[in-house]
Amino acid sequence: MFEILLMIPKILFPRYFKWVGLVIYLIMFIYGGYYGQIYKLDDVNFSTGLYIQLGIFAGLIMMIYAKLKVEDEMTTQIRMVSLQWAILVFIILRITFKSIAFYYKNSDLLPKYQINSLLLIYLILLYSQVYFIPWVKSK
Amino acid sequence: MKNNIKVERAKKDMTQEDLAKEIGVSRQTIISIESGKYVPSTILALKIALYFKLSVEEIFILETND
Repeated sequence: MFEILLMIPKILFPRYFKWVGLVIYLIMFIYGGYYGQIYKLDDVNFSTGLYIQLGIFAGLIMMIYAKLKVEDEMTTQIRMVSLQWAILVFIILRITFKSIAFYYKNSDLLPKYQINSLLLIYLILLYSQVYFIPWVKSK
Repeated sequence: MKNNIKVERAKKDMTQEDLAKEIGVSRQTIISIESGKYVPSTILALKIALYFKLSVEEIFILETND
């Protein structure tokens, strides 16, 4: 059982999935923005809202699980550490926005995006560590 | 943990990129190991030792506070 738990996160998409995911994410995000102004995304009578949300998730998942240029044991560790940090940052951000909403007694300020923003924070942390931080270190 | 990778690399007149390619990791990994920011797994340590034809203890040295 433990071997399976260790093995599954190592299965990754090919590299070009990063760009495919980015395109899907951006299209769905912009379209969702327009659509959300007219209708509610969570209106259960129309399935378009569900497809938009599925598209956003699919895009994010593709970007997250696309192979990096070189996959080795350090990138596996970077992925793990990024996820731990993402959860921490996500909780702090959510609680902060909730506190602000409660302070101003305004329910519009409540945080709306949930797992989306967790995945997005994870993605930013992962790529910033892979591309920027080692580059700074090498000087 | 200290390591002599930089010294051994200089003896062979290799760049970090060359060593990374030989061992099959990224250059960032070699940079991080050399600067002591990342501790490699046993497999990677053995691969590095095998490449330099040395024992692991000759490349990676345990410090008192480890």
